[in-house]
Amino acid sequence: MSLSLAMTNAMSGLAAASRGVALVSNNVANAGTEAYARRELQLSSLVLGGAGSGVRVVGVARQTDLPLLNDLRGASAAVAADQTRLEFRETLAPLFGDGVSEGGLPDRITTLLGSLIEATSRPDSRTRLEAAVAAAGSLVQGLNEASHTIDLARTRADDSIDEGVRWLNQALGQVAELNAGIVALEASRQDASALKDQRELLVGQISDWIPVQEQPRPHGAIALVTTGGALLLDGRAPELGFAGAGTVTAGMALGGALSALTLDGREVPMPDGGGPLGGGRLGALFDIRDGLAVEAQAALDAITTDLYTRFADPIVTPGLAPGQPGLFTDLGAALDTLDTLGLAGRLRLNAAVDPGAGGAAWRLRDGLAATAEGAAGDSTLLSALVDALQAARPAPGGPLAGLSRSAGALADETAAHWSSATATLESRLTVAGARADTLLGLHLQNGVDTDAEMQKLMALEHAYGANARVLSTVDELMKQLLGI
Amino acid sequence: MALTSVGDQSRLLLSRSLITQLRSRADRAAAEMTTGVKQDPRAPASGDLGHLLALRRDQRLLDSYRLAASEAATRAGATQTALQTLADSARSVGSGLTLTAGTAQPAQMATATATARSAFTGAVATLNSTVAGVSLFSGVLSDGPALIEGEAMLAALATATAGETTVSGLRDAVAAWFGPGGGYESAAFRGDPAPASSRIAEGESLALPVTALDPGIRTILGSLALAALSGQLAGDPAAQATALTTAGAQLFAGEGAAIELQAGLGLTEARIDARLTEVAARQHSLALAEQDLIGADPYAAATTFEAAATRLDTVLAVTARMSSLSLLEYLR
Repeated sequence: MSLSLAMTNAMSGLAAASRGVALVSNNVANAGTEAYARRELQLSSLVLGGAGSGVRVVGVARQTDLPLLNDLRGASAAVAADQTRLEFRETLAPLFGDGVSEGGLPDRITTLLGSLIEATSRPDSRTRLEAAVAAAGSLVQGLNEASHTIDLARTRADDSIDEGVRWLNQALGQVAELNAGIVALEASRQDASALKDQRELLVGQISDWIPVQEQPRPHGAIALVTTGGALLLDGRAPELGFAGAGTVTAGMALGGALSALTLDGREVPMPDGGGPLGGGRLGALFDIRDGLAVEAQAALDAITTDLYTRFADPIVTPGLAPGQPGLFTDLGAALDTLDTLGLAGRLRLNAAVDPGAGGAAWRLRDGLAATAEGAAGDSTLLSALVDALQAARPAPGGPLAGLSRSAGALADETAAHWSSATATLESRLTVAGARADTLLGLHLQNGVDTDAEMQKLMALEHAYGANARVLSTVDELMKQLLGI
Repeated sequence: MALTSVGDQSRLLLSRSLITQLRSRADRAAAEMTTGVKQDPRAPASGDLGHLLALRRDQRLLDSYRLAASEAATRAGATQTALQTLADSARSVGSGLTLTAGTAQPAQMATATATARSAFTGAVATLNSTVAGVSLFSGVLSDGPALIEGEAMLAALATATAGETTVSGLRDAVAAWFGPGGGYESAAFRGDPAPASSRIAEGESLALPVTALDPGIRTILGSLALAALSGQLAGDPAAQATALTTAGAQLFAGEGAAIELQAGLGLTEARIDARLTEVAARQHSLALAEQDLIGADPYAAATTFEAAATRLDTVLAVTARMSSLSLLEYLR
């Protein structure tokens, strides 16, 4: 009777050891897999009729540290958000002027000033007059391009939000499905670890878009709560709503042509990329579309309006009726001072001086309204144009609103303002990145250690051998018994 | 619970990020060594960017001002030369006329008249001279000559003074023609009284105010014309001699006026020179300031590079060693 008990015990030991080896092999195979949590075998002694009888596999435990994982997800989301913002800032930096690349607005204004000064010395020289006109044209082009780049960035942000919302809806649905699957498996006492791995991966990806905290629910299910305090998923998957706007242009804003984010039909505010669903890449994209890009457009429009106004002054351009455009026009016409939004994209060179548009460069010297060439050596108007650019005027808007600056200084300081905000963001990103790296390192420490698995394997090998020996010894004894 | 195992991936992460950091630090230091410019992408951005951009603008504008000032200097120099020629001509013809008038010999007076005539056309040609396509004495109408041809002017004068038979009559007629409101202003002068000006420094305009309408120049021309037209009085040698004497005296006065013009122009030239010197000095100091802002000390960069390279070496060696210290290796 005891012999058969011994045999049963040994067989349970063999089974446990084999199960252990299978687990070790799974761990080692998945040593490099993302979102794979190290498995450990949970054993306890088997109790039959009040007496111990061998070993029982209780289950497979997935080694995770939930608070650490939640912290890590929060940090990664912050990094993803700031990286998105930084990319936007770095796209615009060379256009505003960054001291490294050529062709920023300060460079273009300087070229215009320099060519005007050189023209005052030789007002008879067609080459110099045409160079000045070309410089003015290049300045207009720089403003147009910058405005277009901002529009493109907003359009891309809007498109990315659209795609992201679609993906999020799909991913949240999948998490709900996995929850159901895991609950079913655990209810029938089976190992749901693989599904939990998949779910961990998905939640990690969701968290980059909207930072979530995972909260345990019965039978292995989870609920997702955002760091902003909204309940995102609890049993039922939510429905995020967003309507893409196609091409975004300067006049379009949130609440008008641009859509907000809705959660189950209710609009969710995203102030500066934060709010209940903010803090991650989704929030950053809204911040770009509705905040940062709008600020950049305002700064650009301020520089443009300032330039337009400097030259629309009758002192600078005699014969100009009040309200008529000077060297620069708003799509060929005068500017409505109440409608400066998007002026940077609409600014054009006055056709009267543009040889490519039927005008002539000598009008720079003789006046926009001149019908025939005047005195070849007269530099009075050219000199007035130089003064117009160098005079200090209060900025009409943007980050330097109300401060008196020359045209060049306005462009310089706008560039410096943009650049220093970018630098602040970069240092914030560095700190967030370091935190995320540290947390990731701690998280990965819990992962598979092949050396430890090898040690376990050696022990299991030993255990298997011992159990097998017991089995063969008991077999021998039984044979002896039967051999009587 | 005590830590019994450390995940493989955490070790990989650590060494990977360390190696990347060190490598980029070494790359940056290498770039700084070769280009001499700070490679830290945020170096000009911590509030210094506005300063750097303003500095660059100043440098570029100084180039333009230097060009304008040099061109003004060239014009002023050429104008000085022309005025010198006029003054010399006035002096030599003037002294010749005084001498000849003293003799009152018709033949010599005829020669003196012819000399004055050719001196007149020469002076007009000098006043019509250009430098680099710009006419020197025609004000803002700088693309054309200042005066009509000398011969044409004398012909117009001859017509205007046709009836004059006395010295005083001839003298007054010539003076009236060359005076305010006369034929010189209306028919002979092709330019514009407004002087050409250019910007030679920030907020500073420079005008070259000498045109062919200047009183001193008109005196010289008037005197030469008077001497040239004195042939009209050839019938009365005494009258002609008086005319020639008057012309000679006026020429000396004219020479004095021309020299004064030169002196004034000399002050302008000195101003231009001063600006050019200032520009050179400012450009030098701006270059130093820019170097301060974004320049990288090659020695410091070399030291940083060495340090980073050594550390990278160490990390790589340690990583290689650590990867061979695994149970798996010993179980083989």
